[in-house]
This record gives sequence, structure tokens and C-alpha cells, in this order.
Amino acid sequence: MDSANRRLADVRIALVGVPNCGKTALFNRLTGSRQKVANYPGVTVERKEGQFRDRAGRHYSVLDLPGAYSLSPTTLDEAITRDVVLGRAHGEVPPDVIVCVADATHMPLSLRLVLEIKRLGYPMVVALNRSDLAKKRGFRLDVARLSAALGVPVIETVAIAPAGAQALIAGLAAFEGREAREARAPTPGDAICNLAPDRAETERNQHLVPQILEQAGYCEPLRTRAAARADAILMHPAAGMLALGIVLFFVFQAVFSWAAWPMDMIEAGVGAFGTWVAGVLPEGALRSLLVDGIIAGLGAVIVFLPQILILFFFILVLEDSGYLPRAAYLLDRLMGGVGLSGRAFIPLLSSFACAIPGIMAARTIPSVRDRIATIMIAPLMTCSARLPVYALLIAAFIPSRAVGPFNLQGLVLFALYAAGVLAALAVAWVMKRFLTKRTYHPLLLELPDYQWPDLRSLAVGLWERVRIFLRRVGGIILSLMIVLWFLSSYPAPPPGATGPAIEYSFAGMLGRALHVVFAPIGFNWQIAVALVPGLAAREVAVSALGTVYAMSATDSALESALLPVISSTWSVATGLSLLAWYVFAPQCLSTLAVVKRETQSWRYPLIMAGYLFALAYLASFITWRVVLAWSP
Amino acid sequence: MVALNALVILIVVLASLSVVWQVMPARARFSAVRALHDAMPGEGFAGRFGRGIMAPLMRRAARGLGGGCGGCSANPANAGAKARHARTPH
Repeated sequence: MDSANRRLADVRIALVGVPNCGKTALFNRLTGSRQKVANYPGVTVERKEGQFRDRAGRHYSVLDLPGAYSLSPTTLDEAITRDVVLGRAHGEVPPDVIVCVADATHMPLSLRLVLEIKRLGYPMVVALNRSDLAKKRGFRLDVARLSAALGVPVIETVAIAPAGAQALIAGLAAFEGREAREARAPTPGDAICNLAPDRAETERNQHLVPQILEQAGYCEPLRTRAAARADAILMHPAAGMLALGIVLFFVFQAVFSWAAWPMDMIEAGVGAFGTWVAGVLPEGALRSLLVDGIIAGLGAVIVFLPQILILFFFILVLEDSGYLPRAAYLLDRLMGGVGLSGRAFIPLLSSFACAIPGIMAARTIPSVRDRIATIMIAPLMTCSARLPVYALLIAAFIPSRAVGPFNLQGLVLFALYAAGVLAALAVAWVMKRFLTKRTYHPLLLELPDYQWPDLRSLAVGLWERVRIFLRRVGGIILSLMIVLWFLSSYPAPPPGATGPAIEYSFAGMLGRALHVVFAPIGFNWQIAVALVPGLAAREVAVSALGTVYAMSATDSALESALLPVISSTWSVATGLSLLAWYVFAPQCLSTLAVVKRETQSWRYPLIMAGYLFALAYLASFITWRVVLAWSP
Repeated sequence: MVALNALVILIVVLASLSVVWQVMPARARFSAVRALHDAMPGEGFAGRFGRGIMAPLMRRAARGLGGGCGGCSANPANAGAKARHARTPH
């Protein structure tokens, strides 16, 4: 808004409210098409300013501020709102009136901010937005009693309806503008407090809100009461954690139990296809490339697609149902205890799919220190690329027998995921203790309503996972398998050689050189070879093992099936040691590249690679030694 | 048999280039492709043919640098030494 318009405005209004309360819709309703959008310097968020005149010809300027849960900001957006409201924003004239927009369908959340704004002493009015929706859903609230309890005018609005803001405009006529206020003698009511609320006040407001709502006769509809009952269990510090554990436990059981049949089908299909290709092509390099390199390599990893889909089916169901934000709330205390922000939950959850989107999602964390801590532990969350490795090794070395009502293989998979999470929490705690200092930011987030997952969005989400997986299989994994086949085939064995050709190849030489490093943790040279292409993507290690063992096989029956080969040639100690290695699995170049990009420094990816390698080596060494000591 | 072996060599070479392409950092990949493109002579059939092949590769490499969201000033990759944080992941 230019200076001429600012001078002409009789009353300056600031719209303040929690995110998604319909504040911008109200802004558009009030100002029509005359709003002006301007950027704050150096900030990506925007605030909008517009004007309107009421029927009496009074001129108003309206400032639409970013949504904020509190005036104790945790994000840059909230800081802007705080600065404007507290009169700290450079070049911004403080408002004459604050319109605090409250969402009538989320009153407890909105009222906390209303109480914080009221304390400042500004002339204010509460716009009870979405009042039509609240009535339709069965919310009951006596507006007059709420107004009396709060001590400020409360006006119902429907921002999306054509006449939804008329009552608010009429109500604003009662407020005087700056010029009128400055023209008269100041009163105690004119004093403005410019201090942000402290933690004690936030907690006091937390307790005041239910009392005010009770005075206003607030009553939530049956569906919300049912949701509240569900929340009483699911968000309870003890029962909620138990429920979360049961949910996750069930998911990992299902990953193993439900996937067996489709996995067998895919395995049989890959085997039959390999046999057919071997029968059609004449013996030579091309046949070896297709059968031993591509089909054996890709077949070894594509067989795990059903397990990945089952895992993501459950994650999508939990997301759609509205449970995941509740899990974030539940884990906030635990995460705060080890020095992580509650906002780290979503980035860390994303890391279960892949660490890369998780690391990028850490941009939402306002504190640089918290953000770095979250980025540093994101690779410890078990990404989907590790699932094929886990599934292969568990199927090979953990017997499929019942332990009470549970499947032992599912239990081990659950334990591996839990080990990743616990390791992440431990690393975060160490970083908090020795490396970083942080201040506590309470987690405030809007809990969505519970709902049945939408089948269409579930199908779309699963298809997306299939697409991503198949693109990786057809992209980086395929290319690496071809290169690995070449390295495993050449140079050809010398005349009179008795062992498999791979032992004389480049891959064999590389494997034996690396074996020196990995022998103390029980890895053989084939595993050492597989770890190298696994640097590009972790699941490539499974394909690489498939190719390496297919090239080593003297028995044609072993060429197409990796599982029986490793279960018969590796010791249990070696298998478990490799499982322990993959809990920490430092090798993923893409992750390190993204960390470099996000932190604008080589320091953090190098620290990350170093500490993950050290942890992986230590865990494998301990596992190897312990299992060896206990083995008969 | 010679033709089949030649085909295998071609597949291996293409796969190796593909691995290098996919593993290379986006900026280095773009710089390398642009240098190759610029090294081709602008005149004559061979030069124009070479540049014609390199041009789509260069566009593809430029995608890794980020048009769209990647080009947004909120993306820390584009913010230089000054730390900025987007509110939402891009």
C-alpha cells in the first residue's frame, strides 16, 4: 500500500488467525479485487494488503498476515505475524484494530491465539468464521456468552458466502481510527503490550480455553466426541504409545505374511523367463549378459515389490485416516527429550520412504540447529531401499516359525526398523549433549478429523510407489547390473583355471582387495563386491549379489535363485552381521549429495558418511563376534 | 557371433555412460554436457549433427539444476551463502 492510501485509511485492520481458518478468504471477501500483494524483503512468505469502504464511506485498510498458532513463533511466517502485531516490523504501521479470525470448527485451537492477542491490549474483534459449517456439523456455541467470557465482540462470519462479512463490517464501525484516538486524551485502555507470551502464559491459556468454552456453552457434535474418545486413547502418553507400537507391529507382520504368495509368483516368473532366454539364445556373451547379468540381477530385487507395496499401503492408510499427526504429537515429548523438534517428525517419517525427501522436508524446521540435527539422523530411518536387503537376509537366516501369535521373521523386521529409530534418537541425544544447543519449542499442530481412507488416493499413492520402484529398477539398477556383469566376466579366466570365471575377473580382484577391510566383520569377498554398486542405491546390493552369485554358479539351478545360495554358503553370523550393517548402511551417494546441497557445505555429508560408516562397522563387528561366540 | 559381441560392447558402454550420468552431481553433469556441446564446431554437418545430439542432453541436464521449484529462491541450493528456509518442502 502506498503512502497516499495509508494516509487516506481511516482504520487499519490486521487479520490474524491460525493457519487454514479462512482468513485469506475473509480478506478477499472484505477487499474484493483491490488487494495488493507485496513481498517482505528476503522472505518467501507474503502478506497481503487491501482496502475497502463501508456503506458510510469509511475507509479501511486490511492487512492479511501469515497464519500463526502463537505469538511465540516457531517459523518465519509466525515471526512476521508477531512482529507486525507487536509493532516491531520495520516500516509497518501498527494496526488500529485486530480482527482475530477463529475457526468455528476448531475453537480450542483458535482460542489460544485469541487469548494471546487479547493480552496485547489492542482494540479487537473475534470473527467466528465457518460458522455455517460448524452449525451444519452440529457444533453448539452461544456467541453472546463467548463474547462475554472473552470480553471482546464476537461476530459470526462465513467468508465464502457473498454476504458472509456484512456483520463484521457493521461491527467494525464501532472502532475508532488512529487519528481519532490520537486526537483525544489517552486512557489506560490504549496501552499496548509489546511482549510475546512466555511459556507459562502459553500453558495458562491452555487451561483457560476449556473454561471459556464451557462458559460459552460450547458442545462438539457426536462425531467429534467419538473422535475425542479415540484421541483420549490414541494420544494418551501410555496407551497411545502402546497403540502405536501395536499398529507398527501389525504392519511389519503383514509385510512378511501377506507378501509370500505374490513374491513366489514373481520369483517363479523371473526364473521361467531366464530359462526361456537361455534356451533361445546361443551360448556366448549376450546370453550371459541377459541371463546372469540382467535377469538374475533385476529379478533378485524386483521380487520385493509386493513387500514394498504392502508397507506403503499401510503408511498411506495411516496418513489418510488422520492418525499420523497424532503420532507426531505423541512422539513430541520423546523427540524433545533427545533434542529434536516436534516438527522433525514429518521429515523423519518421509525418510522411511527415502532419506532424500525427508532431508528436503527438514526445510520446514525453523531452527538451523534443529534442522541440521534432523538431516543428520534422517538416513537412520529405514528407507524402502533397505527393505529388499532385510527381506532377503531375514528369509535366508531367520526361520519362519511362530513365536506365540507372531511370525518370527516379522518380529525381526520390526526389530530392525526399531533399531534404526532408536539409533537415530541416540545420535540426536549425543548431538544435543555435545554438539548443539537448542531452545524448547512447544509443538502446536492442527489435528485433522478422522476419516476413512479414500480408495482412489490410496490407489494413486501405491501406483506412484510402483512407478518410482520400477524406474529405479529400469534406470540405475539396470545400468549398474550391466557394468557389474562386465566387471564379473572380464578378463576371462586363464587357460587351465578351475574356479568360476568371476574369481579371475575385475570384480573378483576388487572383492579380494576390499575383503581385507570387511573380513573382521565377517563379510566374504562377494559381499564386498556387492557393497560397491550399492553406493548408488542400497537395494542394488541385492541385485549385485544376484549377479555375482549367478556368475559364480557352477550349478545351473543356482543361477536364478539367490536365496538358497546365500542360506547355504553364508554362516548365520555373516548374515546377521550384514543385517546389522544395513541398519546404519552409510552407502547412498544420492543422500550425501542432497545433504551437501541442503546444508551448502561438504562438512555435514562428510561427518554423516563418517559416523554412519563407524556405526555400521561397529554394529556388524559386535554382531559377528557375539553370534560366533554363541554358535555351536 | 561378432555382431552379438559388438552389441554386448555397445550395451556395456551405454550402461557405463548411464551410470556416470546418474551418479554425477547435477551441476558437474550440466557443465560437462555444456562443455561437450560447445566443443562441437558450429559449422558443417558433423558439428551441427553433434550439437543436435547434445542439445536435448543439455536440456535434460539443466533439469537437474532445477527450473521450477529448484529455481525458487526459497530453495537453499539457490540461496548462496545466505541461509533461507522455505516453509514447505518444494
